[in-house]
Parts: sequence; C-alpha cells; structure tokens
Amino acid sequence: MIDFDKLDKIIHEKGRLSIMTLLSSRGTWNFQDIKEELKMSDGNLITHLRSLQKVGYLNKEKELKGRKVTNYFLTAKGKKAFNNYLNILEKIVKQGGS
Amino acid sequence: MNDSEKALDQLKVIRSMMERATVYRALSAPAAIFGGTLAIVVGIYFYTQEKNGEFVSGTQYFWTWVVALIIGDSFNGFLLLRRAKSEGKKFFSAGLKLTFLRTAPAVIAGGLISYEAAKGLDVELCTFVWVLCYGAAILAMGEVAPRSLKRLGWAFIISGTLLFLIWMKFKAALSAVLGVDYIGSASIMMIVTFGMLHIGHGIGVIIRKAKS
Repeated sequence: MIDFDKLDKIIHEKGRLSIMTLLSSRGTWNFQDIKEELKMSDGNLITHLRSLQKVGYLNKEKELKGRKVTNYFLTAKGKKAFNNYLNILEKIVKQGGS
Repeated sequence: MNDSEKALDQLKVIRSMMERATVYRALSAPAAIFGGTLAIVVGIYFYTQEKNGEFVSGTQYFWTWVVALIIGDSFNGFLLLRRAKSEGKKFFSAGLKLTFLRTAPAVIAGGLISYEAAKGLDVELCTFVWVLCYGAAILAMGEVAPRSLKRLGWAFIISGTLLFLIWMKFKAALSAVLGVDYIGSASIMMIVTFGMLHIGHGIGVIIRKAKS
C-alpha cells in the first residue's frame, strides 16, 4: 500500500513542486522568468529555491548579460527525485482507481 | 478527499505548469486571419499585374512580399504585446526567445535562397522555398508550439511539396490552362498556401476556443 507519506516532502509543497516542474520541462530558467511564471514574491521564491538547493535538487550559475542573471537548473539528483515523486503519485492514483 | 484524489490534484498542478512552461502561441488567430487576407490581396495584385501585361521583376516580387511579411508580423507582434501586458508578463518572454532561436535557421536559409531565386526571375522556386521553409520553421518550434500551429506547419510542408511535384510535372499544361506565366502561377501558390492556410488556421483556432 502506497500513501502520501512515501512522497518527497521537499517537492510536495505546491510552490516547490511548480519550480521543479518548470525546471524539468525546459532546462535552465533565470530567476526573473520563474518569478514571472509563478507570480511569487522575491522572498518567497528565494526561500523555495534555497530549500531545493540545500537538498541538492537544483543548482544555480551566475551569468553576465549586461546585468547579473542567476540561472537555475535541476541536478541529476533533482531529476531522479522528481521522477520518483511522479511515479509514486501515479501509483497512488492507480491504487485509488482499482 | 482521499489519497488518490489528492494525487490527482498534484498531477493537475504539474500538468498545467508543464503546459504553461512549454507552450507558446507565437501566432495569434486574428493575426493569422489578417496575414492570410494580406497574402490573398498581394497575390491578387501580382496576378492582375501579369494579366494586364505589366512586367514584374523578381526583386520587385521578393521585396513586396517582404513588406507584406513585415506588416503581418508587426500586427502579430502588437497582438502578442497586448496579450503579454494583459497577462502581466514580459513581451520578450522565454517562450518568444525560444521561438526566435528555433525558427531562425529555416527563416535565414529560406530568405537567402529565395532572394537568389527571385533575382534570377525564378519566382516559382522562390515561392516553394518560402512555403517549405515556413513550414519547417513552425515545426522547428517543437514542443513550444501548440498543436494547432504544428498542424499548420505540416499543412505548409505537405502543400508545398505537393505543389512543387505537380508544378515540376505539369508546369506547361497548368500555365496554359490557367492562362498565367511565372508571376501569376507563383501568386496563385501564395494565395493557396500563405493566404488560405493561414485563414483556415485562424478560423479553426477561434472555433475551437469558442467550443471549449
């Protein structure tokens, strides 16, 4: 029996789940684009990004494009964790349907 | 709410984020209808020029269509800007940048080859290059493009290829039947492809939106 306890708590929060989904759908995103897409405040977004970076799910790199731009991308560990999260969700849904 | 329903809710969040992150409608329906109408008007203009016995040079044909493209693209750009403003988003969004990057190779190659063809008065070849490269540019958008736009890309590739094959085989007979020469036949191809396909696409998108 698989239940919600098996889900990765770091990813499970809606804001962080949205960030992980964005990064997994299209490689690298800069801070401004993520902020605009998710309509989050700077503080809120930074907190979520730091939480994900702390567990090694994402990484950042700074780039100079006239001004400093911070790009975020998923690490191999992050991609694996996101796939596991999706697999468990799928199993829970299938379980409920059977 | 049981676990299965909660999981479905989370999957819905993921799905909507995936769609928002990847799909970018680079060509709005009104812009497609406007562009299609413009293509028909310009096509009819060239067709009647030839019918009236007026000489049209290859470069004149090329640059007139470039101006029509700039007018059509400017209108599309205006609509995209208005949409971005109403949604509180940047005009130069990640989706627009990616669209530019992916379409650039086909647009640049198509522009260069067709210019050389038009200079040599081979306006039919110039038109085929436009149709095929435009279709290739749309398809190069990949997952960024909505399904309707991908269908438009395929429609350009298929109609461009069919027109090319038919034209190569029956050029003389078709010219005689239609009573047209090189500018007239190229204009008919532009009306059929850039004109009608764009209008069909625009109307299709509006109808699907109204239904949903």
